[in-house]
Amino acid sequence: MILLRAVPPELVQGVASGLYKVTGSVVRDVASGRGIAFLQETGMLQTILNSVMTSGGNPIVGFANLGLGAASVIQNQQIKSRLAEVQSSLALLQNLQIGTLVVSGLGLGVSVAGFAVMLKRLKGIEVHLGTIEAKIDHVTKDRRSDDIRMIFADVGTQLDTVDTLSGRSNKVSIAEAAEQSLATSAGRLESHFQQKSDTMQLGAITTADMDLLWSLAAAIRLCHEAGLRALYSIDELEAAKQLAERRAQRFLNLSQALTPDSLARLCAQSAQDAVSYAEARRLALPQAEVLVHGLRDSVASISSQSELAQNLIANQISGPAYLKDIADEKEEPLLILPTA
Amino acid sequence: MNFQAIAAQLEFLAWRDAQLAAISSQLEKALPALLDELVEQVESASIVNLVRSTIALKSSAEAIIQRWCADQLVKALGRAEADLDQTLLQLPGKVNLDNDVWEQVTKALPAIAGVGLIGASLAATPTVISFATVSTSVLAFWGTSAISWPLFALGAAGIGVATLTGSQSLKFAKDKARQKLCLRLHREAGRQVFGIGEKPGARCMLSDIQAAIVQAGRNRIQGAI
Repeated sequence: MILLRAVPPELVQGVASGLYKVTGSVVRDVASGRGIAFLQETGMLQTILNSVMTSGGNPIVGFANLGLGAASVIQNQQIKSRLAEVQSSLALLQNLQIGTLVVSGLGLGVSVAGFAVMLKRLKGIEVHLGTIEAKIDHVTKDRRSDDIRMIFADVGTQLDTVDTLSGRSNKVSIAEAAEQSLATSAGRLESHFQQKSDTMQLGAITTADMDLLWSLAAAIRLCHEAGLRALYSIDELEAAKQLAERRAQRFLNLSQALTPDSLARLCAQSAQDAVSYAEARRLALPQAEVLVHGLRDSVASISSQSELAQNLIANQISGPAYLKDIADEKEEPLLILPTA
Repeated sequence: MNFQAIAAQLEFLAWRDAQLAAISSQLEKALPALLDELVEQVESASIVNLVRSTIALKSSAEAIIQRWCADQLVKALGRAEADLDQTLLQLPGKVNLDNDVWEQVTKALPAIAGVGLIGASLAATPTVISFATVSTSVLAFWGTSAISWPLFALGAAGIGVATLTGSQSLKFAKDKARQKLCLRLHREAGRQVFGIGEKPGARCMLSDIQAAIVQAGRNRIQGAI
């Protein structure tokens, strides 16, 4: 193993005490703002997550309820607690949006999820979108659903390509093509996101509308993660760094228009009096917060992938070597890479 | 570096989001006190005032609403400014941001069109506003032009008719008029404070206070004022 190592207890304690904070996948010193280390998830994390989510034969959360419902929020808290019980280093995840975990992984470092997991996430999002579409916007849903289905089919194909890159002889050109295709899909999904977000500002909305945005955002993030992994596979770290920066900014621009308060107020828009208005707003606020905070966490996550690529370049670690080390890890769910 | 700019933008957006939600909660908690005060005015108004001197009721109600709004604004300002100071302190690198980063942060921050319901209020808020000057500018709108004062005249009209038909009917009409007037006041307060019954984006006190805070925060961050 090059520079990756197990999460030291002092780092966990530092985060718990407020000395450090986790932003995206970077652990920062709160006082100086300096990055201390990068968190990197390994394949073990997915195994632990799967076991935690289905412990006792009773799944806590599945793709059927990956939305923003109050139940999901509570379940996410349960997952966090259980994760911390299973392994102390996972206490670092306490401040993260576990909602994103179900739909698009934690985004801690480069995605290591295999094709089966990524495809499962994609399918989960697609199925969930179908459920949400049935509840809202009947006029445009058919046209939008068709387009999203086509985008998802493209993404599925590219996920397959990215997952099999290591076994290909002409991996550079294939990886570049896959990355570009994923970027195109992300762009088209962003357009759907923007359209939906703009429409939502015009009248009363429901939590299903927020759920739709959440699902689209999860799919966009999945595209980014898979695309970045393709670039790591062919050691295009400088490109990965620059693209992650730009995508983080684009994601930020997408989410800027949304605030938990305005979304919650739109949910209360049809109230007839001040009392029912306040009740409706307060009811919708936690879900609006989950959505907006999740979007902002995604920005931080993508942005920190840019920092990670820069750090690897500075440490002269190649992308493929980094990916191999993560894939080979069989014990720790999380590793750290000290900053250069 | 760009990720520093993004981190800074995220901090400021978190500040903005927290302030908007806090102002909503604050006004919701404070509304009953406003309603009580307005109802008290109606309850204590003499029949003469109800019938003939609706102007007296109107100006006293207007004063109550403006004072309430000013109080809410002052509270929101204090919280927003203190929180923004804290946000600035927590910036990555202790505000060691180069010009490029600073430019990006301030370019992204206005997000004038990006705050949904407060868009119209933001457009109406003076761009030169600061935490120190915010109160006088924001409250000007909430004078007679913004408030549906004919409701007082409507409330009094029934009593005016009743005075012509005898004392029993007058008492009934008076009570009924007060009741209706209170109901209208409640509805009107909901409309003015939260924009209830209005289209999304219409100005209301909540949006105006939020807009003023966002604008003042933006100016503070830009160092413009």
